[in-house]
Amino acid sequence: MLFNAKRGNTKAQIAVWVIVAAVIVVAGLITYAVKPDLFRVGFSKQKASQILETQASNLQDAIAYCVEQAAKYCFDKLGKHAGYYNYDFLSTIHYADSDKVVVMYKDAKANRINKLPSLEQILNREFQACMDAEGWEMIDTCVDFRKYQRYFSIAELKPRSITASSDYANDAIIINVDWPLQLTKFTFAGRVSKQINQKQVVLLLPLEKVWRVANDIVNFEVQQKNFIEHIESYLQNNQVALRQITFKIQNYPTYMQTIYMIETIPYRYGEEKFSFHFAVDRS
Amino acid sequence: MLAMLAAVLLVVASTSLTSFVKAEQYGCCVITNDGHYCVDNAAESSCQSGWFFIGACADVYPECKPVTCITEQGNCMDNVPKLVCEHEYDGSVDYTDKCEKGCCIVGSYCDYVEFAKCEYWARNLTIDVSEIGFYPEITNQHDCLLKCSASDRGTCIKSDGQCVYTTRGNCDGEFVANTYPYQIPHCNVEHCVRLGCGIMPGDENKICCFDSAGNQEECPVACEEGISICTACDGENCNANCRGERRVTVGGSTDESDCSFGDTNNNEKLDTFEPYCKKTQCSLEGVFNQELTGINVTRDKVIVSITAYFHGNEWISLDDGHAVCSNMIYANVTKEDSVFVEFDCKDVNGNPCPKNNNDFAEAYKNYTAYLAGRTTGLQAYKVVCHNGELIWTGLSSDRKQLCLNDEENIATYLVENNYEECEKCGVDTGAGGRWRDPLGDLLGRGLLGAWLGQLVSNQCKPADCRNITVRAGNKTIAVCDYARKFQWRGSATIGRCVPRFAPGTSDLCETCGAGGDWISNTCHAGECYALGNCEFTENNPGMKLWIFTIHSLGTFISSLYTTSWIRCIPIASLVECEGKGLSGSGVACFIVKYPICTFIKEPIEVSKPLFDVLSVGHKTVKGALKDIWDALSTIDFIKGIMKKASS
Repeated sequence: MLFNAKRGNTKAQIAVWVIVAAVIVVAGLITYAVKPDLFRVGFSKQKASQILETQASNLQDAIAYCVEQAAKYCFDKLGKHAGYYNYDFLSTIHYADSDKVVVMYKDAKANRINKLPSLEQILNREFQACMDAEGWEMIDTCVDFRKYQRYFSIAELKPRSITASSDYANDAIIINVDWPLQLTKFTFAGRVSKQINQKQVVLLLPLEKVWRVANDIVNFEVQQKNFIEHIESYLQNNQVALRQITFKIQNYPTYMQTIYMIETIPYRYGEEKFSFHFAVDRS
Repeated sequence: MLAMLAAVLLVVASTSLTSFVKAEQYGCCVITNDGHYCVDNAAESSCQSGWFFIGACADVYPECKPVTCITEQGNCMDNVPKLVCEHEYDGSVDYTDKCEKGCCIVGSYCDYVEFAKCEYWARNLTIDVSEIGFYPEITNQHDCLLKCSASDRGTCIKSDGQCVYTTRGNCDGEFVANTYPYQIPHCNVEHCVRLGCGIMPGDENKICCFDSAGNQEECPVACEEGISICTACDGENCNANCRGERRVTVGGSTDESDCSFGDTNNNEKLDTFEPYCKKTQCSLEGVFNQELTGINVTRDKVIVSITAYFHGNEWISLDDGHAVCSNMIYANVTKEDSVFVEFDCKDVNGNPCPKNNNDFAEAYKNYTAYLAGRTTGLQAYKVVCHNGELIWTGLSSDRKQLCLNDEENIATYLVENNYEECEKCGVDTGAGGRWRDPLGDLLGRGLLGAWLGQLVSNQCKPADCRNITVRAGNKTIAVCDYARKFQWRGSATIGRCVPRFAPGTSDLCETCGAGGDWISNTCHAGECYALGNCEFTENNPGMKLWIFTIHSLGTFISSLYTTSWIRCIPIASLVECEGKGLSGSGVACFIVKYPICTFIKEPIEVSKPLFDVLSVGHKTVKGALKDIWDALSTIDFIKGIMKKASS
């Protein structure tokens, strides 16, 4: 009986130790899954700092890429609607499966009114409206911070903002994102932090060049000149500016309304076609 | 309690009634709820309180009047509402004419822009306005860039050690004239790592080398001025055939073995974005134009002159920045063995189109296939050549706007198709015109009709009709043509003044057979196709009989009140045919005047006046009616009815 009791005790002890071992292993696995770097850095702050440097850079690149995609999406959308994000206060002509915004019309007293948004308005107000409504969400989805939060914690130091400006000489739009983030990594020796700012994004998109063509066309029209009648002289006088630009022009639904579709011809790696559509109504 | 309940009910009722009767008003919204200014046709509910007015914004609110606006970045925008300029664009009103365009040279900027833009560039570079070079006498970009190209160039070594190839005036460091950065060891750049079109003013049409820092270097190839431009291959449409083009390789050498200058046989595909000299002329292959001066509407068809832009053995080319017309108004319509719209094809020299030429034949086949026997959707185009590509500008399928070539100036004009004026020919708008018109038409049918008819009411003569014109440049174009039905000695011409260029609608189709001579006129193919997107078809036997019967009863009086298919005084047509003098053929001919019978296909000209025939031929109406009945008897459908009646 005594022998049996002793044997029972041994088994129980073994079982306890097996359970403890299993718990340790599972804890380790969970820890690795949640904080994989902990095993790499261990007690080394320096090592943690080096790894954080690399990971921060990856995050900056990811954010820059996602900002570029979101900004491209927004400018494409603006371009299809004469530069407007919200255009419900203007009339439109439905053509080729989309709404073309009327930016020149005659009011009740036959005054020709110009409602083409200025370049500044497109870059500021309209771009901001698109980013607020859709762009930021696209960036968050694209970046997917959860996969970075396995390695470090991320804290926003202030509300994020974005600005766009035109680089006419280089046919580009410069996007600056003011979004400082504090990245913190836990080690057994203590925390390591790094503050990152976002990279500037250059969109190969000749918005200003295209807008100036649109502005010239609308200026013709408000002066009671039909641009179609003057297109030859315009092409001859602005040959260099129009080198990478082409037009599609269609009177629709009657000869009193004209749809203008200006499109760029990409000439650099990484550049895609950009379209700027608008309509005028002379009725 | 009851009183309180009644009061509550009253309040509820009046509120409901108010909401029911109050309709949304539309007008000028000076400030909308979402911050837009001077919005016309806005709903009152979209406006900030107190900022809604009935009427046009420019009219009802002075600050909404259109002005020339200079935006923050110096861009000029005309006719912008003042409040929009100041509050939405953060701009200012141009009071000092800063929106004049000219050649601007300031710092590194050189372009054909407004003075306001030039000022903005100067401010950006912290250059004083007095140092701006602005030349309003230069009126195009090319001349402006040429002016800038003369500037002293070289390498600018900046204070931070960066080397930039630029002009002396734009250098804020040490300037080494006539030297490229790669020639200065200190600059540490690699020579000619890529090729591109020049970016320095005046070098835009040259293929140049660029160093590793992006500076432009030498430009070994200059594209031929006025013939080609430097551009980047788009990967699809730039199979360089190397005619007159030279290929430059990285490193700066000109590799003539791959693409010799002047070699017309070497077809080599370029890499995407590789720079090359692209021909700016456009081939007019497959482009045809329905000439506005060559469209004639007859009774039974429309004859259309078309010009193919072909000469000798090849399609002609259009210079960059020039345009031609390609009107498509009529389709080549045939039905069985009848032709209702006929094309008369000529080349640019007026010679018949070379349909034996394979190149031409293929294009002509494609052209007629495109027309596909319909007019609906066809429109006029102004075709413009832009950097070697044709831009097709559609002038709308309502065909209210057409295109006219001016061969002398190689220019095009847009012409308004005022076809509504055609309908007014022969219509008397004076007092009692509604009664005098049909009376005048009736009198116009006989001897001295041309004079008699005109005495009572306006008669539309072919010359009057063709005198309805529009002006285009130094040309006058007739927009109407006379689709003639018949005429005999001394009488007025019966027919209709119709549009020469068929409108792009179907609104007028049902009026076929109407017009100024609506009592006598009947619908024919030429008139039908000239009226718009219409189709000329035979009536079914029942309708044929009905029309025939009504006309036979001489219901011209009732036709005073109708506007559709009852148009003819049958006796007039009968008499018209009587001049042939063949037994029974007079009536048969009469039947064929309507687009309903197939007895005799050829129209027959009348040779005797009304009263002559009546006196020589059938002396009584009864005699005439007997002939009508005899003719009716020959129609199978009628035979069946007569047989049934007799049985």
